[in-house]
Amino acid sequence: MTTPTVRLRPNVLAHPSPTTGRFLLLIAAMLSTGLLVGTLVHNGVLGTSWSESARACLAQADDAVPDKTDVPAQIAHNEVLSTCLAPAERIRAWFDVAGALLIALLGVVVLLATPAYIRRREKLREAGARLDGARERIRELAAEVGLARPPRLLLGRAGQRDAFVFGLPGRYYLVLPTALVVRWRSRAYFDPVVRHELAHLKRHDVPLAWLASAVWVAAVPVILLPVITSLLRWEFSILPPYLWRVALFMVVIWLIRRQALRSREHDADLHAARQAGDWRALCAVLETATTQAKGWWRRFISNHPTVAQRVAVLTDPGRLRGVSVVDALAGGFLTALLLPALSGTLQILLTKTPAYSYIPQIVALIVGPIAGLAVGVGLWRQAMIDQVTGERVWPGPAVAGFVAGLLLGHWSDLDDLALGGDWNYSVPVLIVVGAAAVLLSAGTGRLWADAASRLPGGPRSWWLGFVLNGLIFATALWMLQWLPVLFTATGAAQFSWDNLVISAGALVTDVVYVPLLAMVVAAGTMVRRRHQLPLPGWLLDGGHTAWPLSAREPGLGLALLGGVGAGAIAALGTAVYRLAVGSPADDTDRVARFLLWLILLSSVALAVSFVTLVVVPRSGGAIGLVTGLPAAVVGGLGTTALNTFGFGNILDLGFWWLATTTVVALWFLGYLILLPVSLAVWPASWRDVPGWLLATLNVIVAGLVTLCVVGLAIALR
Amino acid sequence: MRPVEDDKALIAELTELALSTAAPDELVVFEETAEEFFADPQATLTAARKDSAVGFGLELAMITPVALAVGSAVVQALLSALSDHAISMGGRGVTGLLKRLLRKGSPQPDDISLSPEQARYVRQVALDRARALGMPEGQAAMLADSFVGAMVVNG
Repeated sequence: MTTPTVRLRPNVLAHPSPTTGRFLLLIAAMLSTGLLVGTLVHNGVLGTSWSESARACLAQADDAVPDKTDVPAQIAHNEVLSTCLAPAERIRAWFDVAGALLIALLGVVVLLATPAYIRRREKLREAGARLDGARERIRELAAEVGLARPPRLLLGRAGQRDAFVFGLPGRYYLVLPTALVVRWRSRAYFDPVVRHELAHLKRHDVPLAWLASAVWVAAVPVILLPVITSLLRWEFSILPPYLWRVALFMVVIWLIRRQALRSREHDADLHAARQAGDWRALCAVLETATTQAKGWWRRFISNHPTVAQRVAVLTDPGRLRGVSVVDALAGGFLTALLLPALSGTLQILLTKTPAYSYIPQIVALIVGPIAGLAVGVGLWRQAMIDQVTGERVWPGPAVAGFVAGLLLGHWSDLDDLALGGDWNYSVPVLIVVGAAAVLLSAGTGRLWADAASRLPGGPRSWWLGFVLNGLIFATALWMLQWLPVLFTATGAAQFSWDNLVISAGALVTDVVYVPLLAMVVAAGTMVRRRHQLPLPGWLLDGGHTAWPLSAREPGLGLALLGGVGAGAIAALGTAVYRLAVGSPADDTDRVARFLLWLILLSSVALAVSFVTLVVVPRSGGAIGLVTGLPAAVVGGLGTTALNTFGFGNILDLGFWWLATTTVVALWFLGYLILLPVSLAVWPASWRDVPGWLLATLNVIVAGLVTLCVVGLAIALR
Repeated sequence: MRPVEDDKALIAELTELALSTAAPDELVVFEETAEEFFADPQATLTAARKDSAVGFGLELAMITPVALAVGSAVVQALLSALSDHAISMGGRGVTGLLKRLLRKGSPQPDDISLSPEQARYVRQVALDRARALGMPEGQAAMLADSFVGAMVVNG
C-alpha cells in the first residue's frame, strides 16, 4: 500500500452534503415521471373527447375571426381558441397533477410501510437480555453523537452479516449482525460500525435512503398506467416513444439513486470518524470486515462505494468530489425534462390568470433552485474543500455533464407526447447557457471560498450560496425557455440582426438584475478576502489551524476602477465619433448610431470581462462581472450623458435606461458565451493578480477596442 | 438430510463445547442459533442479501452456524467410527457412547476415549467440512482443533 500524501484534512461535513441534492433530484425525477404519466393517461382516457373539444373550439375561433392575415387577428383567434379550450385543458392539467400526486402518495406509502416490511422480511427480533451490554454501549454512543433517543437494537437471522438502520423519525431501529453484537466488548470493531449507523440517524438520511432504495415500488405502478390504458383501448401507437423515454428515465433515476446511496456512506463514514476523533479505526473495520464486489460490472452497479474508495476518502476527505459528471448529467437531464413538463402543466392551469405571463419565471424559480442545489452548491462546496487542500479541481466534467444532461433531456423531450414546445436554436442555447450557468457558479464559488476565513461556519455561511446558485440557475433556465422563443420569433418575423440587437434590452431586461446581484456578491467577497486570516477550525478536520491558499488580489477598488475606466473610454469613443461625423442626418442615421453605441459599448465591456477571465484563473468568472458590468453601465450612462449634456439632446431618462439596460443585456449574453474561456485558464498555478495590472490591461484593451470600432465606423461611413 | 432429534442434541452439545474454545462470545446466542440451524441449515449458512442498498457493507458471519454444520459432520463420522466399538460393548447404542464420550465431570470406569488415529480422523473431517463451507484456513483449523479438544478434554 502506498503512503498517502500528507496534506490538510478538510472538514467536508461542514458544508451542505451532495447527498441532499441527489435525494432532491430523485424526488424531482419521480414527480416529473408522474406529470408525464398524467398526460398520457389523460390522452388514453379522454383523448377522443379532448380532440372533439379542440375541433369545436377551432371552428368557433374560425367563426369569430375568419380573417387571420394580420398579427392582431391571429392573437384574437388564439384568444378565442384558448378560452374555449380552457376547460378541457384544465382537465388535462389536473391529470398531470394527479400523476405527480399519485407517485408522491405511493412514495409516502412506501416510506411508512417500509419499517414493518423490513422487520417481517428480515425476521428481525429484539435482542435478548443477555445482550444488555451491547444495548448499553449503543446508548452511550448515541448520547455521544447527540441523538435524543437511541435506536432500538434488533437482530436478524444467523445469516445476517451486514448492519443497517431503518425506521421513521422518532422510532429508528439498528440492525447489527449477531456476530458483531456478541462481540460488543471488542470496541475496535463494534464502535466504528455503530458510530457509522448512528451517523446516518444524525444526518437524517434514513427515510430518504429507504425511499431511494424502494423507489421502483412507487415508480413502476405509475409508469405502467399508460401501458394499461393502451391495452384497454387496444391502441399502442403511444407505447414505443413512451417506453424508450421511460427506459432512459429509469436509467437516470437509477444513477441518481446509486450516487445518493454511495455518497451517504461517505458522509456517514466521515461523520463517524470525526465523532471518534480518529478515522483509522473505521478504516481497519472496512479493510478487514467488508467484502468487495467482484468484477468491474458488479462494482459499477453496487450501491456502495468500494472499500478502497471509502478508505481513500477517510484518509483524505478532500477526495470527495463536490459534483461528479454523473451528478451534473442527472441534474441537466432532469432539468431539461422538468422544464417543459412543469411549464406545460402551469400554462394550462394558469390560463386566464395574471400569473400566466410569468410562467417561464415561475418554472425557472421552481426548477432553478433544484439544479442550483444539485450542481451549483456542489461546486461551491468543492471550492471550499480546494481552499484547504490547495487543489484546483477542474469544473470541466461538471460543465460537460450538465450540458450533456440538458441535451439528452432535450432530445428525449416529451414534445412527441404533447408536452413542451419545439423551437429553433434550442440546442446552441442549451449548450451556451448551460455551460455558462455552471461556470458562473464555479467562479463565484471560488471567489467566495477565498473569503472562507471570514465566514462563521454552519448554515450562516451557506444561505448566500443557496440563494445565489438558485438565482444563477433559475436565470439560466428562464433564458433556456425564453431565448429560443425569442430567436425563433425574430426569425419568423424576419427581423434583421441589427433590430434584434437594438431590441435585446427590452426583450431580456430582466436579465440585467442577475449579473448585478452576482456582482454585488462578488464585490462583497472581494472586500472580505482582503486580509489574510488563518483558516477557521470548522473548515478543518482535526481542529488544526493553517493559512488559507486563497487569493487576495485583485482588490475591489482597482477591479472596479478598471471597469469604470474602460466604460468611460468607450463613452468617450462615441463622443469622438459624434464629433468626427457631426449631427445625424435623419432617423435612419440615428438608429445606425444607436446601433454603433450598443456594439461599441458592449464590445468594450466584453473585452474587459474577457481579459479578466484570462488573467484571473478560477475566480475570473466572478471578477469578470465586477469589471464587465461597470464597464457596460458606465459606458451606457456616460454615452447618454454626453449625448444629452455635451451635444444638447433632450433629457429623456427612459432613453438613458433603455440604452444602458440594452448594453448590459448584450454584454451579459456575450459574457455567457465567453465564460468557457475560464476552463482553459482554470488550472493555472498563480492565484493573486495585482489590481493595478488588471486595471491597466482593461483600460488598454478598452482603448484598443474603442479605437478599432470607432475607426472602422468612421472609415466605413 | 436433517439430523434426527437425538442427534440434534448431540450435535448441539458437541458444537457448544467446541465453541467454548473457538468462539466463546457466541455462546450467549447459541440456543436460538442452533434452533434456527436445525430448522433450515442451508438458510442459516447462506448470507442474507448482499449489497443491500442501505447497509454498512459488512461481511461479519457468525461461526456458530458453520460450527454446527461441522459438528453434524463430526457426529456422523464418530457414529461410523464408533459403531464397531458399540458392537463389542454388547450392542449399546452408538449415540449413547457418544454421549459418554462428551460427558463432563469425573471420569467413570466405563468411559471411552478417542484413540490418536480417531482424533486425527475427526480433526480431518471437521477441517474438510469447515473448508468446504468457505471458512478461512486459520479459522477452520482452529475450529477443527476445538472439536477434537472438546472430545479429548471431556472424553
